[in-house]
Amino acid sequence: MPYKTIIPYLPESTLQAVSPLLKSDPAIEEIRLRTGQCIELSGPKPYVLSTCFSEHDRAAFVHKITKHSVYRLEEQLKRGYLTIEGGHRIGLAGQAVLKEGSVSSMTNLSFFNIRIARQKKGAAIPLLASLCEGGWKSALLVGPPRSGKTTLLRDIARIAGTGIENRQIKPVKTCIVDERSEIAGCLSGVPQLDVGVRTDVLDACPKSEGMMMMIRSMSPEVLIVDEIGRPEDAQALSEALHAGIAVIATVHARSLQEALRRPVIRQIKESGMFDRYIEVSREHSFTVLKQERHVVG
Amino acid sequence: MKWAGALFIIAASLFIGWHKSKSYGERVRQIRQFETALLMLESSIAYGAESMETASRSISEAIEKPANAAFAQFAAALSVSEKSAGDIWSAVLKKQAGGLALKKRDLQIVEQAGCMLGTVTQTAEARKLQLVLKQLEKQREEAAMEEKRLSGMTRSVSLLFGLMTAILLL
Repeated sequence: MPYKTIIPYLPESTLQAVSPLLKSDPAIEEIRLRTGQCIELSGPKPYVLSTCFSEHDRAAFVHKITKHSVYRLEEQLKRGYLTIEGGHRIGLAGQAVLKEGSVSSMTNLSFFNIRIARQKKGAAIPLLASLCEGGWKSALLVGPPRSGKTTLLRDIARIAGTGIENRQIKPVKTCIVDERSEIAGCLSGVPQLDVGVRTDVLDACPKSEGMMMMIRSMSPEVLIVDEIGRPEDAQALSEALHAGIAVIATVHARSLQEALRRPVIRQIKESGMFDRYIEVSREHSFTVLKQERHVVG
Repeated sequence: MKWAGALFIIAASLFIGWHKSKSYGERVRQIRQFETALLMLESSIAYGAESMETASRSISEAIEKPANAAFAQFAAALSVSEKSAGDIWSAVLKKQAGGLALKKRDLQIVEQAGCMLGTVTQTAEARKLQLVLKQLEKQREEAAMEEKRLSGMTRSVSLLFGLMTAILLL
């Protein structure tokens, strides 16, 4: 029951409305709460409930998710999401507070998206043949939102950090730079999901900075990062690959061709940083594109 | 028998006077307790490491009776209630008011500490708590002066009242 840890956060009326569906349909991926609107559950089969998420529910939900302590969550509010026990992520929207032109916080929170974190152990096994061929290969997983990239990444981290005896995959030092607390679902620095026994997690740290920190301090053999795309990410990736580290990362796009329209991804591809490009579809199928690495510069 | 009655009246008057004069000192002590508690809360918020519930529970363990009970109840209610921290704090204070030596104004100031509690940023929380602490400091100074002025007098008046009543009844 992955949603068990979400229950204490839901207001009573919302819980009564969503609880039977969460029990009956384990494939539900998101609970969407919009103040004054009907509650929506999305997944392969979407549901719109007759129960409305009232103003009272909104206030109660905010009190519960912030634990009456907004002062602790300033950074999370600025980023627009927070992670709760079980690794579930609550996306937030309301009124942005600007300071010198950039978002400094968020107030009047009115829209919430609870993404149910689900660990699918073994999800990455079909990829092992191409990812772990005489040692771990660097790979970029390309896929649209909700295609299961993060689930795959989490399982790759778990396999790399724990190993699989009957496949002769030995556990290696694995590091995760989990900027959005989605891969390991850390709460107070402790992973809530199984990411492997030899795995170190740097939680809520910007990717490029985090990659460099992990390379310097934790000597990883496999480095896992989610959603690359900024110019500084390419720089950090280059550093990692020069250090002989296998980097497994993800990027948002429907296909590799679409991803290549982004200058940073194009630059990464042209530099030959990754050995494998894996396209992940909404139907959770994979296409592995091999490439011989030729690290440049 | 008459003398025993007279002695009883004098003892009762003395006890009432002693109790009343003690309440002046108790008010000062309790205001100080709330000041300490709110200072602890302010530093917990400033470091941002603890949730309101954990901070309140730590405060309830660190301070003395009777203010500790308010924070213990507040922490317990925070974990289960869907109400705001401010509403919970007000409800707890209303429940505790009977057992406190604080005046209505003191209680109002302590209650103000709950206004917007846990719903604003660190800076805003610190600013508000500082304001409440300043007001409490004034109340404490006033209470200390009142204690100095009235404590001894209350005891003397109660003794005199007891003596007078006893003489009249003899």
